[in-house]
Amino acid sequence: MANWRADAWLIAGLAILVLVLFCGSLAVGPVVLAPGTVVAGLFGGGGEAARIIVQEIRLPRALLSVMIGGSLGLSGAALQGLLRNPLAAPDLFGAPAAASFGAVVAISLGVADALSFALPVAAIAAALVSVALLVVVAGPRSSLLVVILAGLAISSLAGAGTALALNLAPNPFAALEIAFWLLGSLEDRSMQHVLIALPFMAVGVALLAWDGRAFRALTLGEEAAASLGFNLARVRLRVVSGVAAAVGAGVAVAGSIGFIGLVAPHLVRPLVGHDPARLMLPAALAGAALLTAADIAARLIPAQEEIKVGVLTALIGAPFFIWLIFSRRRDFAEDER
Amino acid sequence: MNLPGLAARDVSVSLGGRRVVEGATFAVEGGEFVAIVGPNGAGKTTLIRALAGLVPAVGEITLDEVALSSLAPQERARLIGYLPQGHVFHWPLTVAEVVGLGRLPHTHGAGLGEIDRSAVELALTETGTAAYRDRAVTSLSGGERARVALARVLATEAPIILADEPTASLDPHYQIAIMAMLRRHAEAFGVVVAVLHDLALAARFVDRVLVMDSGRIVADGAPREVLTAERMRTTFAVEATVIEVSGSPVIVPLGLSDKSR
Repeated sequence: MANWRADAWLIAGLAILVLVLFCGSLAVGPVVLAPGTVVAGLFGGGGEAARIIVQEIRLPRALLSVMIGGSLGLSGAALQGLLRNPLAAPDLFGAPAAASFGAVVAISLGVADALSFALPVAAIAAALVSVALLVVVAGPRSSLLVVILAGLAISSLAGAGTALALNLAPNPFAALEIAFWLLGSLEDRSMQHVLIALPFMAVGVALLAWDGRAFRALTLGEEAAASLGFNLARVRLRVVSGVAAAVGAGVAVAGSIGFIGLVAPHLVRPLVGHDPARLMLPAALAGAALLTAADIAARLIPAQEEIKVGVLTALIGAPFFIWLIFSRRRDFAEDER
Repeated sequence: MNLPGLAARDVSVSLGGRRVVEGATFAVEGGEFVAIVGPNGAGKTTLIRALAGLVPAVGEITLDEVALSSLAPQERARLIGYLPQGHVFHWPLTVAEVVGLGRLPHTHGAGLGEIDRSAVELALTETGTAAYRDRAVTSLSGGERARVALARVLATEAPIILADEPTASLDPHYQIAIMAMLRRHAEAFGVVVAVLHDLALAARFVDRVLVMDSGRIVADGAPREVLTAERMRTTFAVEATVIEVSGSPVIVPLGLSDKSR
C-alpha cells in the first residue's frame, strides 16, 4: 500500500532528524569543542577533558532528551488514541504533576535521594494513580469537557500536594532544590540517571506500542471497537500503566517537562492521514526531536542562568495549545451539542 | 444450504441495578431478517447489545448451537457485525479506511490483504459510497455517514448482522436501498436483526417482528400478525388504523390513545 511507503519515508526522515539533533546535542555546550574532538571524546580519546565533557556530561543529556521526548510523544499519541481526542496529552491531565508530587514527597521524606530507584518508583506510582483516576472520571464516553475538567482537577490536587511539600520543607535550601528540580531540566545528568529511567521507560514504551489496532478501531467509538473484538478494559489498563511508567520515569530524572506529548503527535498527525495506529512511531520520533532541539536551544539562549528546558517547552507549548484550541473551536462546539 | 441462526433463551440484562431486558426468548432461523420494534425505553438497544456480546447478560445466547459466551472476542467479531446508533467517527480517516476497519477481526498485522481489499470494495459498492472513498469521513453528511457505517459492518462479512436503527437519518431512497441490502444479506449469509422505528418500512422488508415493551418481548410473528391496531393501542398508546399496501401492512396513526403514557 502507498501508505506504508509514505510512512517509511516519514519515519526515516524523522529518525535522521533525531540523529542529527542528537549529534548537535553532543557538540553544543559552554566549552567549545571542535567536531573532531567531540567524536574522539565520545570514543574515549582526545584528552581527558574532552572525554569527560562528551561522555559524562553531554552524552547522558542527549540520551535523556531522546528517551524522554520519545516517551512523551508516544504517551501523547496513545492517550489521544484511547480517548479519541487530540487534546489528551499526558501533561494536560495531571500525570507529570502527579509524578512530580510523588517524587517530591519521596525526596522530602528522605526516602530517596536524587539517584535512587525509589524516586522513579514514587513518581510512577503517583502518575499511575492520576492517569487511572482520569480514565475512571472521564468514563466510557470521555466527553472532551469532562476529560479536561478532570485533568485540571487532578493537576491542581497534585500541585497543591507539591506546594505543601515545599511549604513543609525542612530548610530553604531543600525547598530551592525541589523548586529548581520541578522546573524540568536535563542539565548535569549522569549515566546513572539514564540507567534509572531506562528500564521503566522500556516497560512503558512496550505497553504503549501494543494497541495501535485498537486505537484505529476506536475511531468508531467504544461500542463498535468492542464489537470488532477488542477488549477495551485491557487496552485502557495497558495505556494507563504505560503512560504512567514512561512519564513517571522521565519526571523522576528530569523533572516536569510539558507539552511535548501534546505537540509532537499533533505535528505529525496530518502526515499519517490522521490514522491513530500509524501515528505512534512518528509521534515518538517527533517528541524525541522536539525535546532534543529544545534542550539545545536552552543551552544556546544567552542568559545568566541556563534556561531550564521545561520552562522553554512550556513557553512554546502553551501558546501552541492556545492556538490549537482556537483553530478547533468549531469542532468543540459540535462535540458538546 | 444451512445458514447460521441465532437464539436467545430467557435472556435478562440489568443496567445500574435496573432490569432493562427481562426473560427474552426467541430464535432467528438462518436466512431470516427480523425487526425489533417498541416504544422508547423498551430495552431494544440493550437487547441487541446483549446479542452482540457487548453487555453482560444472564440466560443463554447461542449462535448456531454455540454459546456466545464461549467465543473469544475476535472469533465473535468475525461472526457478528454490530452497527451501533449514531455513526460517530472520531478521526478524519478516509471512507475507504473506515470501511477497512471492518476487516480488523480478520487481520493481525497492520495492512489489508487481497481478500480484505475485495471485501472493502464490495461493501463500498453495495452501499453506494465508493464515489467518496478518498474523502475524509468527517466531511460527509449524516446520511452518507450512516451508509459508510453500514459499509464498515458489511466489510466484516459476518453471517450475523445486528443493527441499531440502520435507517435513521437516511432519505427515503436510501432507507429502501439499505433495507433491501440487509434483506439480501440475511438471505445469502445468515441473519439480520435490526432495531427499527419505521413500522411501515419494517413491515415491507422483514420476515418477523419482535415487539418489546418495558423490557419484555410482548409479541413475535409475521408483520401482518403483529402490527395490528390493537397492538398499537396496547404497546405504543397510539390509535391507528392498519391498511394493506402491496401485501404488507401500513399503520396509519390517528392520534394518541385514551390511556396515554
